[in-house]
Amino acid sequence: MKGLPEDLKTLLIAPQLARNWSAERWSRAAYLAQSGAVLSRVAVDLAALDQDPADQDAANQDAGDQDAGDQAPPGVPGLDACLLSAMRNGARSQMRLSWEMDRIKRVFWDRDLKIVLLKGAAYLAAGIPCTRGRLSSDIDIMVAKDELAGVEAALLDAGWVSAKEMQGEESGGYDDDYYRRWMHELPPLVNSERKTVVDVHHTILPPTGRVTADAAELLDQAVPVESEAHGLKGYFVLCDTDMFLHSVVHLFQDGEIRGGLRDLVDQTDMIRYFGARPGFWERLITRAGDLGLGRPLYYSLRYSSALLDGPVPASALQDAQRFAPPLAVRMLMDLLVPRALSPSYLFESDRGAGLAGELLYIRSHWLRMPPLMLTRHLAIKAWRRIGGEKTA
Amino acid sequence: MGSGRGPNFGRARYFVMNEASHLWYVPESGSLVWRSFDSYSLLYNERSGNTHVLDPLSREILDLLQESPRDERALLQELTSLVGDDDPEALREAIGEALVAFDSAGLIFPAYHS
Amino acid sequence: MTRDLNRGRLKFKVGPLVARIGTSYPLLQRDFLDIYRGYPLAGPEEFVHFNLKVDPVSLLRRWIRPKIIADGGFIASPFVPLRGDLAILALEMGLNWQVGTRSDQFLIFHSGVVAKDPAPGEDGPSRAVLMAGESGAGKSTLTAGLAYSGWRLFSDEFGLLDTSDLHLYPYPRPISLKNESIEVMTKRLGEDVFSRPFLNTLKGTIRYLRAPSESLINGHKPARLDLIIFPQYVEGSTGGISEFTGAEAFAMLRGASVNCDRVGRSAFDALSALTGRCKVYGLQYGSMDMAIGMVEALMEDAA
Repeated sequence: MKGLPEDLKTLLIAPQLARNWSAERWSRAAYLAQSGAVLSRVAVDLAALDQDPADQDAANQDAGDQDAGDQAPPGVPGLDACLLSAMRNGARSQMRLSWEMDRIKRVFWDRDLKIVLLKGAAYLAAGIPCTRGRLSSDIDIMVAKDELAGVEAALLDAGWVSAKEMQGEESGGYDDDYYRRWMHELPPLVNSERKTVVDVHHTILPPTGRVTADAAELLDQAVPVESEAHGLKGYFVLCDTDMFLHSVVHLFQDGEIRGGLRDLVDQTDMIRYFGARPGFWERLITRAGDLGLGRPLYYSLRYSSALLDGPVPASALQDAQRFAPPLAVRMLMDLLVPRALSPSYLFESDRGAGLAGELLYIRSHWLRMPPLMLTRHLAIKAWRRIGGEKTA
Repeated sequence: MGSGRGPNFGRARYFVMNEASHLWYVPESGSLVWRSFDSYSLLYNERSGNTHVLDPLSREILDLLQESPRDERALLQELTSLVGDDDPEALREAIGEALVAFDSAGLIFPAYHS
Repeated sequence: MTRDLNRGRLKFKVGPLVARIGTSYPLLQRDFLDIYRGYPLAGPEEFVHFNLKVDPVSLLRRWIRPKIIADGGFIASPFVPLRGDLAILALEMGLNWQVGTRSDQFLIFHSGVVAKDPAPGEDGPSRAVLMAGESGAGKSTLTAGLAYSGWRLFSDEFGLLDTSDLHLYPYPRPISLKNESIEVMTKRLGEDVFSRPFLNTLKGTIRYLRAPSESLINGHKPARLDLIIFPQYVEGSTGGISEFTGAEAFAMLRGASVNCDRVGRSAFDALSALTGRCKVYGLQYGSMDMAIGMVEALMEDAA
């Protein structure tokens, strides 16, 4: 299997080894990290290394540096500035996220409502290490299906508007209807002042998908946030196995794999963080089977360990084998996934990555809807486009 | 539906808010950074990343809320003792306006009397 | 150089920033090498901050009704295709966009900046004036005028402030002048320092004024920010100055900043420190010479 670009992998899993890199090597690697939306994380990790002399000595030895006392930061002029910029960006992103949580909490402060944070907001609230320098724009929350209408009304009342409307599309149009009928979320809502987007879900999988997760059970198993931060306290997050599986579904079933490096990094961090809990792996495999999410879990464990050295125990890899696809599919995925996840340098073109992304996109649509609906959806989209161009 | 779902944000469902009846507090006041220019105060909120300008009365109100949670009536009493009661209606109005502004900026948060 | 451009290997320095550029489009290569004449090249020991490729949108559009687009490798590209003869605008906008959105090590002001260096043999810091204000208020023209009257050009577009020491860093790009400003400045400086005209752009006619060579030679030297002005050209004005202080000055400055939200707490600290330390003026002027005289005087006064 083709791996990630070597230097990008090094930045992600052993940034201390990048200390002695040349400017040329750094320029290319920083570009790749930026394209993969992980540069802020790398910057945070490097800054932490500089703070911790013990690690630094180890790093110097790792890098074959004879003088372990030499604690000079990376000696590439202009690099520190780039890393500072990335670090500020990551911090800003995390602040926006927790602030938005605080503002949403304000809307529902006097209601008896269980709100489960998903994805980036959940990682932040639960203190998962992948939150460091993580760039996230959208906020995802989940509520019980019968709360959806009330939640939407309250948000609309408090300054959120439909994202489609903001782009000039009227609500009640086809896209709007599509979300409500077939997807697992309300049409995205945008805060008109802050321009932040909130996606309100009632489950983590589309009800039309051929595998569906039982929403009530997800809500039941959710756990209260332990953080004392004002904006986060009072919320819930999915339990460890479900949090992991949600990320997995998002990357390997629900969305586009292209550009999904950040998600695989999240999963690798969760593997480290949750993997140490007693019984986690048995629970994970069982839960994935129960929810019908075995296949995407198989992919996650496979590619996390292959591409990012995710510490998946051999026994768990073995257990997940029962979710493996037919050999031909696996070989195809082994070919496509690493390419789709790998950013390429602007001055070294990689046409294969684009094609791999296209193929995986078609696949994700096919997984999301019964075949008949897929054509219906695409046909309506196409008609609208023709109609739109005629009137324009 | 609510029962059995654990301790959530509030206690009453679809509670009709009566502005005067609850307390306001300043969450994590350590994240407020102040600078003074002339008689104005500049305020940077590290939680939101927003910068605000406050006139002296607004500053006083926020200081009081930072000291301890208060409702609108308590604020009016304390400020009256500070600035006198020449025009109680104007003061009440100013407090009301300040609270609305602070609330929409997220500088204060509502709470129930315990 | 043309070969380096072809291969995407041309690396040049703009102040503290290094950009790597590639284009295979001959007209753009000519325009680029013309307006960036004299820029320092970056060696292999220097980190590249920005990467940009500017090429025809397709093979067909290279030859037939050419369309050119900048590519910085973003998943959702913010750039739009431009007519072939305007390719240099695509490059300029592409670079500005990257600098404006990805240089949060600086607090960036949407402003022109020029600085006075100490006279030869004298000690002391270089001292900068930052000229902020809305597009069309005349700050590019005034920056151009000052840059060719004994001041060192920092930028007509972005003031790059290091929040830790309140020094500005040079960002000496070619100055883009539009419509009437072109006539004013060609009369003043002659044709030689200008690019060819670019006609029928979205903003009318554009000509690029090359950065003076002294500002390129000293392009790495920062300057202390001592004076902030909001200039406004008013036809027939006999000159007027108004001072902003306190919270008002802070608000004006903050409004001129491009990325204070992203820089966060450091931006707030820097802005309030600047408000306490620098004079902030609104400046009305009726002619270039008047404005230059006023800026000189205000800078004397700020010492």
